[in-house]
Amino acid sequence: MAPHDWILRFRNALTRRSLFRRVLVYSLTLSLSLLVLMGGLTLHRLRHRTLQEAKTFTASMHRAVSLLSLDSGAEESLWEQAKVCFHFCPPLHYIVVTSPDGTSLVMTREEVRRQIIPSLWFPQLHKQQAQWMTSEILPGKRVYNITLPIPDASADRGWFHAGFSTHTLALFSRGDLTLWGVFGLLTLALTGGVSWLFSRRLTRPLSDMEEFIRRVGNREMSARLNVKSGDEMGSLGEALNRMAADLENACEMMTAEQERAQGIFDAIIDSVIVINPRGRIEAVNRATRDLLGLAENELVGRDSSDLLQINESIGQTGGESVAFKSEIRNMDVNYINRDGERIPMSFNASLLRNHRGGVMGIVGVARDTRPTRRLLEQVARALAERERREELQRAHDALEAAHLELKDTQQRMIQSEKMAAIGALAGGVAHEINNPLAIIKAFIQPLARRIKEGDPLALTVRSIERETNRCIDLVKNLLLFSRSYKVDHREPVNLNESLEETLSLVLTKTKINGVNVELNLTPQLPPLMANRNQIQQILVNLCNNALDVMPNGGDLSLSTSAKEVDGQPGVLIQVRDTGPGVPEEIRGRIFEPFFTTKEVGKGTGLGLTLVYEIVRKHGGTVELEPSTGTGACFTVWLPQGDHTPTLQEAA
Amino acid sequence: MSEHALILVDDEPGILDAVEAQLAPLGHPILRCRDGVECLETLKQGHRGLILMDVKMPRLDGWQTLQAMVAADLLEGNLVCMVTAIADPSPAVEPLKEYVADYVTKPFDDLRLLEVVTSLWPLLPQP
Repeated sequence: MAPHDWILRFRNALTRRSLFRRVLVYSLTLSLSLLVLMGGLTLHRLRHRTLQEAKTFTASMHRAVSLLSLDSGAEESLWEQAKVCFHFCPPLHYIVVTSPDGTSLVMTREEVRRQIIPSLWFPQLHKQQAQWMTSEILPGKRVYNITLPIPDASADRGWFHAGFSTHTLALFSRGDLTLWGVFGLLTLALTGGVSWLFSRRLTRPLSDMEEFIRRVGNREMSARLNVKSGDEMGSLGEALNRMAADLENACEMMTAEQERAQGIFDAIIDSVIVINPRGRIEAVNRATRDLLGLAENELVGRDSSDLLQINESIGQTGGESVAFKSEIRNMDVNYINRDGERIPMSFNASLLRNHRGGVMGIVGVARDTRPTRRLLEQVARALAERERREELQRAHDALEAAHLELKDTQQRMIQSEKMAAIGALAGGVAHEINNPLAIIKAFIQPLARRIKEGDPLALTVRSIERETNRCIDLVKNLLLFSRSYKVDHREPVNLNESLEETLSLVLTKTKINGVNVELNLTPQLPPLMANRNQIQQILVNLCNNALDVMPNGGDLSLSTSAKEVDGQPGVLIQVRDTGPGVPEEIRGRIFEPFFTTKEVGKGTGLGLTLVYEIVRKHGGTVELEPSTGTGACFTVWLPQGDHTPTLQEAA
Repeated sequence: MSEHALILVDDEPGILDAVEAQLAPLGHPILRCRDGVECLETLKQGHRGLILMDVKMPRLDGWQTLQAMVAADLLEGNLVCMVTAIADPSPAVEPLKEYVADYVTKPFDDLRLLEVVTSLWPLLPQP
């Protein structure tokens, strides 16, 4: 311990109304009293002895003076005597011998001078008997005066006075005084030290205990008293130590429990806030502090309405409503953070009750809804984005489809135009060839008829005739085919004949493809009132389609039969092939214009559309029979229609 | 002009030759017209008979010629047989059909041609 501390402690000990001070003061007072008593006694004894000595000295002087006669001669010897006295007795201040006549022989130490002065100078000395007295005979000098009558003389013989300086009287036993002083000081120091030690020893354990209790009070739980003595203080110290140990254990447990509780409190991810019934914040967990950017001391004790923004303050009216409802669920509130920003929270609260059931406050748990909102917004944005993208994709697809369709349509238009041009060309050419063929035929026919068998030219002529006829048939069909169908001219049509005519048109193709044609015609079909060309066109188209799907051979079966539909007489035509059939997914589209499964340039996509249009125009129906596994079968039904003979029929 | 003639109307000389060659054996006088205009001129000259009229001709086609004949009142004393590539009925010619005695499609079968001529010839109104 530094000296400074010692001084401080000392000062403290003295200034405070402490037991130590009291003990110290008591013991010091006691020892000082003793000292004073002893000193007094000693002084008294000393003084007594000194006085005894002075008396003894005075007595011997007196005796000596008494032996002298106070005559003139005596005076000298008296003086000599006095000189000796002055020499041996330093306190001796003066010797005065008064004679009855009133003269006094005064011998003083100062200059060891003698003088005879009137006794009036010592009038009072005359009156005095032998006694001790202290008086100021000389101004400024306290003198211890002893007056004795000069013996063997009458009363008027004179008096002997000896004055001792009280001052020099003390010096008279200086050694004693010094010894006494040293002894006194030593005693004082000793008693002081002993008193200090005693009071310290007496009060030290107490102050230690006080210090110890203060430390324990300051939560310095590990502090222990250093118990040395086995006395009552010792057992008290031990008891205190035991208590401190118990307290420490309890505190540790409590601290651990508290830390655990605080840990749990702080580990909660959601904001937890405890509000007392007066609406003040009592505790907040770390999540709340982090969320608000405020320290614990900035939050605790504040009015909860500073922090929570809702329709009503949670702490007051809210508390009542909580008390009323005992809990709040998913209330939308705003926390207000350090910067005054509002944080949207979902707030849940329940009442905090003590063990008697009294309401101590509210425990609120709030969750920042921003992440959820952000998430929702993100999801919404993502959904919107996806929707937008999908819409864009759809638009893009539609555009692409439209573009493709447009391109396709353009392609088909070109194709259609081309076909129309080719058709027109073919028609024109056919027409032009017709006349030369007519001429050839006109000449070769009679020739062929007239030529005899065995004629070397017979084969030639007949071949020319046959091939001419073939050309004529071809041209005729070409003309029929290219003939515009805008002319809605109806005439009685024998379907069987039309079918046969059609076959002649597609015969070449059947041969090329190696397709067997099977005809299943019902004889005696009623004639239809129809446009022959168009009926032919139907049949040609259906047959061509059938042949196109059988490039490597197959069977083409054609059948006709009479059939009544809805009470309307009509004719049924079936065109069946053994090709791959029509896929289910395109069955609905086959009659659409420009829909084709053929390669570009191979088909116009108008064939079946034309069939459909013509059949519809004639009031009939055309259907693709449900798939039977292999091949496709188109069924056309045409109503018989009104039968009015025309000139053509007559022709 | 008292004698009936076979009046052949066609822009194709080959056709005319061929028809003439086929019908010559019948012994009827034969008049050849290169088109409708010539045909009308022939009729205006007073000739009458069986007219084998091609439909498709330059200047004035068969039906137009027939129309003109009707209009010029030249039909009287004649029979008209239309010669056509294929049956080509047109609504426009429908009213004229009543003036047509028969039709022959071209290229014609020689027997058919003979049949038409021989069957119609007697039907020619006698002047």
